[in-house]
Amino acid sequence: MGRRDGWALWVGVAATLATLVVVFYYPVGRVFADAVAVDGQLSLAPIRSVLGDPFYTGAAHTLVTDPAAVPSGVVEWLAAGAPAVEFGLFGFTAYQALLSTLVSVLVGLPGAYVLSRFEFPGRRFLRSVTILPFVLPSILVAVGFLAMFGRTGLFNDLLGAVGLGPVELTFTLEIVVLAHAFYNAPLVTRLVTAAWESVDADRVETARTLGASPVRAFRDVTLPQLLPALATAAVLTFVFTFMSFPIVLALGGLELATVEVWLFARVQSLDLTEAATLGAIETALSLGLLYVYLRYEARRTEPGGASRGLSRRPLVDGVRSLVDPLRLAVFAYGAVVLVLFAGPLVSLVVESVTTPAGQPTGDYYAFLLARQASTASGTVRPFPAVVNSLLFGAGTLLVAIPMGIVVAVVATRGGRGSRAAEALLTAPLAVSGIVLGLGMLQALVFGTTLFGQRLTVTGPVAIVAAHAVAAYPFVSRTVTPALRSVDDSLGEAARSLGADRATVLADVELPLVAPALVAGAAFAFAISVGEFDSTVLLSTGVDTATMPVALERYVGDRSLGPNLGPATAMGTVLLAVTTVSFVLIDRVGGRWE
Amino acid sequence: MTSADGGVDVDELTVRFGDVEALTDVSLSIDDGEFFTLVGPSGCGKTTLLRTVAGLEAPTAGRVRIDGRDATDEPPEERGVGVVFQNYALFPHMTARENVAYGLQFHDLPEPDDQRVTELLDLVDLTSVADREPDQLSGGQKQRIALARALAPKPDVLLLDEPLSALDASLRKRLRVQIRSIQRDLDITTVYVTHDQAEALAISDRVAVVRDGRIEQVGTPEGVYREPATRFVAEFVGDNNVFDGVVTGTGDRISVDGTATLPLPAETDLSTGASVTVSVRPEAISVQDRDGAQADGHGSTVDERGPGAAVTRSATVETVEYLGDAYRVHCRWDDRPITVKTDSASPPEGAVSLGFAPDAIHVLSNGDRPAATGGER
Repeated sequence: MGRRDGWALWVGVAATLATLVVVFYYPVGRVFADAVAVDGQLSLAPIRSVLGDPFYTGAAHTLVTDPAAVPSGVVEWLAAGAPAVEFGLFGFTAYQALLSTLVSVLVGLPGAYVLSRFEFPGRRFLRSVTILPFVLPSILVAVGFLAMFGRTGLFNDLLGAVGLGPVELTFTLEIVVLAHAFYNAPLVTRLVTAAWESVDADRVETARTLGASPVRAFRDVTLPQLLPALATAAVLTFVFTFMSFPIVLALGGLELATVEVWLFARVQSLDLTEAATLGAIETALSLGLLYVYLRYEARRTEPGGASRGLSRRPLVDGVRSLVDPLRLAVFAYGAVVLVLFAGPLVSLVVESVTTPAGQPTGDYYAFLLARQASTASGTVRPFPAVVNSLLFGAGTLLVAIPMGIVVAVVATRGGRGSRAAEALLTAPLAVSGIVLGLGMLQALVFGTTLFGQRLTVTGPVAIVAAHAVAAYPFVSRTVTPALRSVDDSLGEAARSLGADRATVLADVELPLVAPALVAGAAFAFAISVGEFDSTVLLSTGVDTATMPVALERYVGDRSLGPNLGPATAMGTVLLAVTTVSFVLIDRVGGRWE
Repeated sequence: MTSADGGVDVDELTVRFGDVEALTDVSLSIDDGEFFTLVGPSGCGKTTLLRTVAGLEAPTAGRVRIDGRDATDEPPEERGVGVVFQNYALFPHMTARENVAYGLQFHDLPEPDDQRVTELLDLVDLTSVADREPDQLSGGQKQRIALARALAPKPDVLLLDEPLSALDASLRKRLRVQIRSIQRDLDITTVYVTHDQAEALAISDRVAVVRDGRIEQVGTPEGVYREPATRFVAEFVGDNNVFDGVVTGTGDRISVDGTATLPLPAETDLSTGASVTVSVRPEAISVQDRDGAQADGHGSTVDERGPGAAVTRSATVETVEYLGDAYRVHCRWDDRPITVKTDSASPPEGAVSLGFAPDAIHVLSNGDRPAATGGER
């Protein structure tokens, strides 16, 4: 159907595209333009200077500076017994991303096995909690990790209680990788569990009746359905951790800087050309990876609709089942999960109400509420940050919801429009918040001359725009599957009764996807409230600081006190806001694609 | 052949989806107030034809006229059609009453909307469940609410797409009587799509048999049943025995497979050597035990038309189906299957003699496509 879509949809599409061009494509384009131009002339010099700098590319820099010497260099290296080589900032970034991906898969896969093959109280809850990382601000996770694994954290307290430790994890690669696993292992679990649950039991049983052993049936029937999901999760994890910013900044510092952190440092020292070049290279890498991946995934065909999922065994089946080695392993895994996932969040809350000596205190919360807390100039005041976060979140909803709906409607249509919509939705995933923030800084905050007019977008408007760009894909991705599942004949029935296309959307489709819309809005709100990367660049004064920005300042600035107190208190508030969003997403529902 | 006013006309309609041609050059003329059924196997294009009339599919070529005006380029909401879908398509977030009322906001009827809704709920006997949500309604109730909703804005044409196929057999029979009587009372032009040929015969003024995107035959139910135009119609509508043969110059004049013969009906003008396909309805054939006792237990060996008029052939009973009011007897006539329907008290068995009148033999058009449509009103 749909020969005539009415003007309403096209107005929506035009407005959405215009918004995206102004606040996303143009700014990001400016970053790319700056990377390939010197004084308005096209030039590869900036890129060459970055890639040819051993600081950035390590041993690979000769590929740019002296390609002819590469073969002999490789020969020399082999002759020397192939010693370890460094590949600079990019090499380290990729290395930590690879390590993080590996750990995320190792931690996440057993979770998928447990959730899809065992039945136990709380299974459904745990399954839905795997979506939590999407809404937890990463700076919050960083603070939680400091509270858990820091020198005075809960982990060392626990070790001390059994006569071990202390272990110093702050500013180590280990804590960065663990924090990345906190984020991405649930993604692995979520995607693989979904695939595992969609395995058709009939097919496995057919293989068994044809003579396959359980292991063989797993290898021949189940595994082929799990691998694509695992690949998806691993690629996404690599891209996410390659571009990870607040976690590395807060837990690793400049000693463990990744491209993203270094890029941020360049912007802070106003070295914008080098920052733009770094951003362009980084974005090109992640876009390329996502593109290759999407090409691969497009060729894959979905397994036909599962008629009946595999049955799950009870996890606890009488006392004797508890000594089963497999179940003991599951319980050991559960303990690891508890320390790694519940630990940081619990520590955050505990630390926010206790003094370093372990006494209960309300001082940190009082500090948040003290509007006029006398702090040194340039220090972020807490209460306005809370208010700002909520206001920006509301502003983000106003922009992201209509945009998200428009893109979802286009995506549901099928055909060319649907593929374009998919690209629109995926692009923001591959562009880091820092790059977007840098682009907006240069294109909008510093201003653009158009028809002789100097146009600038600053402060709250720029921040809300950046948040909306980050948030609208979540609205679309929640609403699209819901919209798709609305029976076509409902719209057709309404059309035949006299409703035009726009009326069908308003009367039939949107009311039916209302739960997904609410979930999408909760997502968008949580994304906005937790957004750190572009906000930290765009909130130029203390007046536009948000909770995550304040949080980072408090972690870095111990002048407020000898401990994490204020940071954990604000972190707890942030946790409360995002938990409410999570509950809305979970309870009101909708599938998430 | 277009209706001056009222009704639906479809002219040389072709609908293509990518490489697939769902309808090929279809022309139909449906009269004002007529109950017209499109019947055919799944995938034959009957639903596409209905959806094209509704404006839910765009034709690749051809025109659709509704109530005398060219509606080909009108969007569905301007066509004045009421559609009932197979899955009912009730709006799940509205009550039954709200569903029925939905279309009224887009139409100006002389009476108040509330009154019209009550009228329709009365018509389908569902006033008592008016305030329920669709998921609190039974299948039959949903179907009737969907019908009421389609009729509420007083459409010129009612389109029903397999409206009963999701219901159980006895409910299906009751509801089709109700649909038919409502249609008669309102005198509304109705296009009905079904794959169930018995339903099509039971309910319709006229039937179009659709196959592979083309109309195979259009006619009254009796016309299509008694005088199928093609082999496909003969086999699709009701049970039938179909035989291919060649016209010969001698004896019974149809040689079947060179091993058996059948008489050629008098009115045909096929010349010797022409190939011919004939059909004989199972209920037109009587069964007798080979020893002469009629299996129906009447004891008579004399056909009412007289022994001279009857064609008799020897056969062997293979399997018997009990239908309640009759037996369907699957026999072998030499090597070929032949089906007989008999209301005898006990099932025939073993070697039997089959008898039928020569005019029970119906000559089918030999090509795949009909030369002319039979039984057109």
